Amino acid sequence: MILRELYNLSLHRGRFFSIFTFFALALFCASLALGPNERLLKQSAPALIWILAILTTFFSTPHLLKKEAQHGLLDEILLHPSLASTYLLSKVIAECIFIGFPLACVGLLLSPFFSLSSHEMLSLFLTLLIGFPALSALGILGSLLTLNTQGGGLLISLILLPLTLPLLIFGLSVMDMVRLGLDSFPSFWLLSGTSLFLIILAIAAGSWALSFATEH
Amino acid sequence: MKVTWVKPRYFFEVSKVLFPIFIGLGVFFFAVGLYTALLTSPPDYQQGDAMRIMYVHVPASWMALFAYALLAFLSFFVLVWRSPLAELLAVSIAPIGALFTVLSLVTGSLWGKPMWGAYWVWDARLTSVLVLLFLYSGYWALYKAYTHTDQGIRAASLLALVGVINLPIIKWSVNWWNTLHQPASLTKLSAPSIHPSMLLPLGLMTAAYIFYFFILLILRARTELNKRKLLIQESLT
Repeated sequence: MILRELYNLSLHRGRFFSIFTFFALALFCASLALGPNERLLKQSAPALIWILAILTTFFSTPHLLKKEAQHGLLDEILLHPSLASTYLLSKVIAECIFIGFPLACVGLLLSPFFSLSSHEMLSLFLTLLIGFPALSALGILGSLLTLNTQGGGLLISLILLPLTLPLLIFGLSVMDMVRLGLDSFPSFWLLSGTSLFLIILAIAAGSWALSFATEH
Repeated sequence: MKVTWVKPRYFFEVSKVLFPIFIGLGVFFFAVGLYTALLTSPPDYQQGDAMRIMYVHVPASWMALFAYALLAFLSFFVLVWRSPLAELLAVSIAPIGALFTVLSLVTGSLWGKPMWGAYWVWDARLTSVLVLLFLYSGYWALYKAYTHTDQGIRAASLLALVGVINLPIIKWSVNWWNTLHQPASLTKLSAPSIHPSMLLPLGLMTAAYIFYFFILLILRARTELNKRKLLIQESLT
């Protein structure tokens, strides 16, 4: 199933370009707007990268799911004997490989903009990698909830941003610890725990949402 | 699971009897509560008369949380049993809960200006209440985004249920995050036990708010039911 999702995602290669370009361009604009003050940039970089990663995920997921819904795939998933949550989980894993990992890499590549040290860069990369599966799962839940509406990415961000706050808080507290040179492991484990919890929650809710997203 | 009291008609017959009683009790508690809170209760020895905002602020925050808990409880009924009454009540509760949240935030910041010197402080309590407001608005936006209300209510109910699990996380994590940034916590609500002369008006005001909440709820639920009846009549003709 993961392979099938990977194949499905690879069919939309054109969209990936716009996703990553959006992310890079938005980061560029943000760093330009902040000005050349090195200390300010250094402090705000993790926050900016995290927020933009969240927004990019929420804007990109609904398109992919909407196409599948139009082709009637969601109905077939419900008819299929395997669990709907397996389908959602494989979707999350595929998105992590195709969007999450490159997104973290783009974040890593752009960190010289913000004059981050190599240690900070590495921990930012890791927090993004840990946080992304939860973001992707939440994005899928949001796009299932808004499937039959006209709202799109804006509505998804509106309903899901409050749910991403724990991730944002723990992810950034890791970065703060690293910046201050303190032990960052406690926040790191908290981030991982929150991420796992959100994945489970979003997938459980998502498989419930799937059953009424397919009603027309 | 067919119990008569979950039928909307039965609820509205009961509410017809309860409504005037609620109005009477609500007016009574507001009158007595405001009188004791503003005139007879002693001012705080540190904060002076400004602490009287507490009598309208604290019950509003409680009601905001209570409304969300009730909303989540009803959402569960909507999702599992598709109860029409729970649907009506949940839709009616969401704006009332948002109203109490706004009231709590506004009165809180009015109190914060003389006490803390700022309308807004990045404190755990303030932030979590603001997140509560965002959850309410997300619920409402999702419900309104659907053209079919029965689809919208189920999507929104699911969101409300997910949100209720998130609420305690936000509360603790922001607290934890805040202690990183600011050495001293600004939470003044964890004051030592409150004197009975102040507790009495607080209790009276809480009772007044509860009746006000149920008055609004009955009114809104009636309006919602009539609106749906009209829609059905229109679609038939």
